[in-house]
Amino acid sequence: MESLHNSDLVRGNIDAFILRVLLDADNYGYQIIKELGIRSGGRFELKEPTLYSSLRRLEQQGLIRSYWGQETQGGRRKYYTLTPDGRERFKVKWQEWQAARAIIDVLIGDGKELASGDGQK
Amino acid sequence: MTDRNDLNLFVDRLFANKRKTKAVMELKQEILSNLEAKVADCMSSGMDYQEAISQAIRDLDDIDSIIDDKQTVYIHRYRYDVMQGALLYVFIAWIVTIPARLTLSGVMVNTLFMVLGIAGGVLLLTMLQKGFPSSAEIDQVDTGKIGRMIRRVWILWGLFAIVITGYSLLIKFGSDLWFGRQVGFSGPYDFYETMLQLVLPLTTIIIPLATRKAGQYITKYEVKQS
Repeated sequence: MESLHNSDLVRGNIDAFILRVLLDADNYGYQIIKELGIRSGGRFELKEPTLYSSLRRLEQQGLIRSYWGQETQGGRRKYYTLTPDGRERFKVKWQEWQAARAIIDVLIGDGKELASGDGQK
Repeated sequence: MTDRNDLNLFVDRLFANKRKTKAVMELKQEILSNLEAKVADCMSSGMDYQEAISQAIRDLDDIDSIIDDKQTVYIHRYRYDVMQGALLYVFIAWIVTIPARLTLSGVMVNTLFMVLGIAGGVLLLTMLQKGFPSSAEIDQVDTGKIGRMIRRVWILWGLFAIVITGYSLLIKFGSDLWFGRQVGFSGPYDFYETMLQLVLPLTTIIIPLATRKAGQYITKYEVKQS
């Protein structure tokens, strides 16, 4: 799906994607990108510039914190971890998404998909 | 390891013209370690080395958008130092233009620098009295904006220097050239006066110089957060 990356629905949730990955475990930049790729079955690839600006924004908002890893080989990795505020924000985002999904299903999809599951008219 | 060198070179180039603040250097290190992880990952899935490198750096052509223009600095110490630097330039200009007092315009320029120096000195003393040099007051400055301002000041000054020099030359020699007379000086004093007329306006170079210092001091007074 070419348009997926430009979809506002996807782009508007990138911060939440990252929070979701960090909710499971602390992680560093490339591994976050990889994790998102795996979880989306290869349908979503986060570009580096987007990742870095997202991480910076989240850190400035106090939702995540960073620390340097203890790698002995190669460059040191910068790991990110959720702050309590970050967990809280993710919970809110999650609820928003649940509510939004229900309403989008009804308003774009007529609500029939929810009931019948086949999406046909 | 060769791949470390290639990626190092790439990242060095990527950050070549960036400010060397702590935050920027950390971003550089973070990007490098992520690229290393990506290259290792690509190679472990069967890609050859060159392919992995070009794959890794594909989306990283410009990092301006991820470098933060806002920089937190010790604002009072920063302002004090900028003021001190500017004052130093004014004093140098003042001393340098003392010999120019032989001419009327020289007296005016030299007196102007002296007045500026005194005013700046008073301002600096006031700052000193308010404890600026040891103040822990912090604030954000927009380095992007300051960088653009410095460029603009240099361009403006360059234009000014070209126009004023051309103008002075034209006033002095224009009619000689126009009427085919020999270009020359009627004596050492005339020569001195002409030179002064050319050089005096250029003492305004202290303005772009002081502005440039203001840019450099940002890094010096950045607040290093852990």
